[in-house]
Amino acid sequence: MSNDSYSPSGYKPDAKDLEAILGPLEADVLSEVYEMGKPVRVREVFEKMKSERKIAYTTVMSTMNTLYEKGILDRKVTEGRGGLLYVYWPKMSRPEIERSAVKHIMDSLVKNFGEAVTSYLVEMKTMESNEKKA
Amino acid sequence: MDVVDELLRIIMMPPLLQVVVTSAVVLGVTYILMKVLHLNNPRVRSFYFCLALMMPIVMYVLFTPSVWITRLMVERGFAPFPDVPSIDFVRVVEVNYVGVVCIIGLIFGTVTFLISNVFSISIVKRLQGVFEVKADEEPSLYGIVEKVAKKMGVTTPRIGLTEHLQPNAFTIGRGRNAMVVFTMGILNTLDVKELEAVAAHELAHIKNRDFSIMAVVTALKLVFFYNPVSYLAASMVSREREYLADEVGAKVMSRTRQLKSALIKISSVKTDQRSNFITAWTTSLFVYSQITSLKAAFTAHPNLDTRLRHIGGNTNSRGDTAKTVVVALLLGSTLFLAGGYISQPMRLVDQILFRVDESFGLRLMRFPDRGGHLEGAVTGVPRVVPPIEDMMAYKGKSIPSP
Repeated sequence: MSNDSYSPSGYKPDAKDLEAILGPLEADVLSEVYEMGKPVRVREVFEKMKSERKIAYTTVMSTMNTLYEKGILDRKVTEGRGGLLYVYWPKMSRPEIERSAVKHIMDSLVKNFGEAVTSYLVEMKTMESNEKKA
Repeated sequence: MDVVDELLRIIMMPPLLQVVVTSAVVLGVTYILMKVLHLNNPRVRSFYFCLALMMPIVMYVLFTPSVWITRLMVERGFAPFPDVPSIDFVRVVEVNYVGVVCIIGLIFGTVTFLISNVFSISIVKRLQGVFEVKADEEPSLYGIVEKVAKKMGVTTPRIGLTEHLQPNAFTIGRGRNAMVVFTMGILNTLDVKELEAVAAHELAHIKNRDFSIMAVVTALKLVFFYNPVSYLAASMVSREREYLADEVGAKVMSRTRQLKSALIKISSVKTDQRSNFITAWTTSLFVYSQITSLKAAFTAHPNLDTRLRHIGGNTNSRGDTAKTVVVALLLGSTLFLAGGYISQPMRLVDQILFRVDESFGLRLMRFPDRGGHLEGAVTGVPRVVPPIEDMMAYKGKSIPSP
């Protein structure tokens, strides 16, 4: 397991999947990177996303840069055709990043609304065991 | 060692040295006159260096070997001076190394010129990993380039991108086919106004037809690959075209300050450029307009300080054309004067140029007046023309009807 962690700056309750903890474009780009399953260049992600939706290379480039700055992606300089370029890969696996985000959000909720969170969790647990008995 | 001996012999011959000295004197005097007469700006200077590059051809045309003219006369049966002993030629099958070197240069130059005109875009795209983006795929960058193109009065070029970290931009191809390429590094480094200034610089290359000029210059450089001066002249032409693109681009878009700051930013980013030598060299044959500023000697781009001093200079293409014509006239007249003063040694130049430029692997030699074969000649090889006295036209006889 990786020692890296991700603390999201916000949580969007109405959003789906990774979009709840990342921007919509960031979530899409990260999903593509996970799907490709190898260190990728911006162009590879751009070509893949281009076939599915209208998107600019520079947009993908700056999104991947943002994901790197947020500590979600890692990158290194490598030798490509005619010059040096970046390749990116995820620092953490998808379950790791989800777990890390949940941990930070829960920690924050417990810190700010400790009693409410505890009683809600107890309530949830009770409901769950009642459902099982029934 | 035969090749080395032959080349050394040619180099050490006085006529060759005289050609070199004459060229140097002519170019030097013309340059001083350019300075004195205030004909000194990038456009004019770039044409001056083009002429310097073509000096060997100019010398050859001006001092055409008299033997060649005589041979043409003999072959056509035209003999204005009947008293002059007839001249005949034999083929001597012997390798002339200088001729071989010239042929190699000619082949190199011609092939590169043809390739750069037909395949340069696809070659550079493959070597540098350039991919083309359409207007709807990269609207903001396309918008910048389109705006500059409209202001400059040129067709909006195609846009290419590379993922290189080194901030750089360059143009490949000409006219409607031209493509301006930006690296990821430059898009990350510059702001919108600076990008506009860089786009203006690249479009100025298209407006100034630098691709065509530099394709010819590069081809000539390769034709005269054995002449060190040709490398210097070619790199000087390239530098002057860079100054000109800086001036024209900054002036048209009124982005003098932004171009300066863009150049400073570009030159301050240091990435370890470890590109393969073959790739870099091949690219340099077809890409003449990289914005990057390099300081090493003999590189196509001037150093940053000199370049910044040039930005904001005034250019006027109509005035420059007139100035270029004046410089060409100066160069020509200086050449004639120099040629006149040393006309006697120039006769020797005939011989060496004759051997260097015309024989191309075969030597043409004067046939002895007394008849018979030339010493060392391979016998049994057919003569190029029959002896002059056998020619009908020379004898004044009417040609019998068949």
